[in-house]
Amino acid sequence: MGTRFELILLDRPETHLRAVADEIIAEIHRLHGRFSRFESTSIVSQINRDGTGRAVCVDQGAFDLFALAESVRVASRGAFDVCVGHFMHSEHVSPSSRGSADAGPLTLNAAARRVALSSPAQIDLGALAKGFALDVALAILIEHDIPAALIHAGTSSVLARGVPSGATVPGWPIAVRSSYEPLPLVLRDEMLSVSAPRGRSLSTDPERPVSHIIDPRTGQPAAAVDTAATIFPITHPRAGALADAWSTAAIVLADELQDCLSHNPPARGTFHIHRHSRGWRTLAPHAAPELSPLVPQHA
Amino acid sequence: MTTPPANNSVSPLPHPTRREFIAQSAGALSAMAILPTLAAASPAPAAAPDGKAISVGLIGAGRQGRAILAELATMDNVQVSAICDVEASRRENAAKRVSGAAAYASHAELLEKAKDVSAIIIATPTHEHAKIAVDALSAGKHVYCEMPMAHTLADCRAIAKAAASAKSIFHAGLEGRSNPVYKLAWSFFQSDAARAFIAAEAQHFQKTSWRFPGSSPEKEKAANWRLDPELSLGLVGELGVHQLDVVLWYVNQAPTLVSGHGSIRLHDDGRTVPDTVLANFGFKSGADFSYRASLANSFGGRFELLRGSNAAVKLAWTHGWMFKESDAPTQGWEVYANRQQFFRDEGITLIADATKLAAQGKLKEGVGLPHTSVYYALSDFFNAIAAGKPSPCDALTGLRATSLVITANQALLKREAMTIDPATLAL
Repeated sequence: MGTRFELILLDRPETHLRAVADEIIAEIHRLHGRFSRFESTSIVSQINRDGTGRAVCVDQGAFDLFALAESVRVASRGAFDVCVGHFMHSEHVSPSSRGSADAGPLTLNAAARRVALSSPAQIDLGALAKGFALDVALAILIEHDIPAALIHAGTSSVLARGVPSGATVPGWPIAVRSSYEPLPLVLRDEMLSVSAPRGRSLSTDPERPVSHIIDPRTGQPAAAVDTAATIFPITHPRAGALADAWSTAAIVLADELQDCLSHNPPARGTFHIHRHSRGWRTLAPHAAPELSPLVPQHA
Repeated sequence: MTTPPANNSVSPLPHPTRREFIAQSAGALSAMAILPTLAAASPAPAAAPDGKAISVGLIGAGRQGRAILAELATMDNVQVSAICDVEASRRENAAKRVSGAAAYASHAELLEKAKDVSAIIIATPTHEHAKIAVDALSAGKHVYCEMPMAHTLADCRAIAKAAASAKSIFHAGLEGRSNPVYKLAWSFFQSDAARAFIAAEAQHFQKTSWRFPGSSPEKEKAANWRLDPELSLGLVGELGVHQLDVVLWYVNQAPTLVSGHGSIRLHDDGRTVPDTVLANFGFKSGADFSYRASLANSFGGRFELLRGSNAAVKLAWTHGWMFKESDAPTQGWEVYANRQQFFRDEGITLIADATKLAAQGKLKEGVGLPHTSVYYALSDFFNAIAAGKPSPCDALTGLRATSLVITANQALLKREAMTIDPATLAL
């Protein structure tokens, strides 16, 4: 994943916490080895190498992750696609004749647990791998009865479990940065993912940054949204991976997001969107389909 | 020019057409290589003699067991039909990863009820290997056993004796011997490319506590067998057995002397098993192998380095390099080889299947293995079953390596030099 993870584990003896932290870190390393396209032995590298000519058999955990990615691709009308990665590493981003939500380059055979690719697609799980790692970390925290923990991956994907003892707020206080005003949150038993077009650029010209988040439907950089933050309760299976995927989709969908969510709402997610100087807006598809401003809008 | 060993075939590249030659830049030309060919770097296991998938039972669903399950899932001709672990949560989690596999709480129950299983993979704590392996071999099952083979010499001998009298196959999980990069490097080390064995060193540095959490004091004690001085072979045993075996394989001789020491450098949490160790193995020729391992620092990670008078070979599991001496004779192909710079040293990247990849113009994509090390070891095991031939990494090989690390662990705990009795290295 090439990302720095930080773990804060509380309210148990230190030796026990260190052992749990080591187990989480070991699992993160394992997931990196399994899913990073930069590791020659990873299942993603195998599929990218071999998956065009033949379907590659994978284990159930890997298959479930690909299935989740595909479900978000369809629900987001193609705005999220793990096969968009090859655009990000081209010197020139050009319009694509690629598809709609109906036809993706990934073919999944659930009965045989096989994954195939249509050429010239390549898989890059970077847009949901961190969240998936947090899902695995959560399972370890629960297994070993750690009541309070905060784990983040690269400051953009966050797992907040429980309430730190002695806290004055009912959860972990987090502030989401934007290019404008921050978004204050208090997270408890939730996964948060933040996406933003700034920070990484496809262009080598620092004066003319090009968003690294590409619209898979057009091949164009997505820059209409300044920041998107998605939150899913940890009671939802794969909350971390979903939060990651949908925060990316929200950047791409921009004004289409509300309509998309009204037709295909992901279960119990909350979306906070900052549309360049228009302030933060909140969408909670399962609560109410209308927009609700979180902070006063700026002119 | 030196004639390569008999098991080493050199295949020159097909001569490029004029169009291909012009299309290639000078950088691309440097990617061409003439290197010994090997069997394909992705040896998918063959089916059993009856054409059906080999039915596998996994015993031990901890971290290594789960890693093995992930590899087995990618293999055609292999079906995991039984999973065993004494711990219910591990057993259930593992069963979820494999559809249709029956779950058992003991190896005895698995052997009794899972009659269709023909191959057993043992991934339990080291001190539990012997009983399971002997029972499985007695039941006529093929056995793949994680290394070290056992935590006592007596248990190692029991396994080796059972394997010797069994009609089924026993495979010692010493992954280096199945690793395509290591096999390629071995062929160079046997040839004049490396020449006289000077010295070897290996390390395994990873900052971690080696402590596992448990939901009760009993479970925590069971999970932390590596920190139990009565059960654990320490770093030199649990980690070093693989790396020592690589050296044994390459130099084809056993050490005669071992010394060393260990200490707690970081994890001062009440443990007595050292978190940092150094072991020195001396050979009759005067060469030596130095092994370091630590849980207190990660720099350098894991590698083996074998030095010959003509070249050194560095191996890091999925990658390997050869560093030729400036006065070593050249064989011609080195000019075109893929290279990597390490400060002042330039290493020739060792790429399995290089000739085929170079012909496809994909040599640089071949840096790094396409599968994990354990995949190749498991493949060799299943291919031996399919072919009805002995394992390329048999019980005696496992006995030899494990016996040496058992002695090494004793030596470093006592801080005494110990002579290695050759009788302990054979049945």
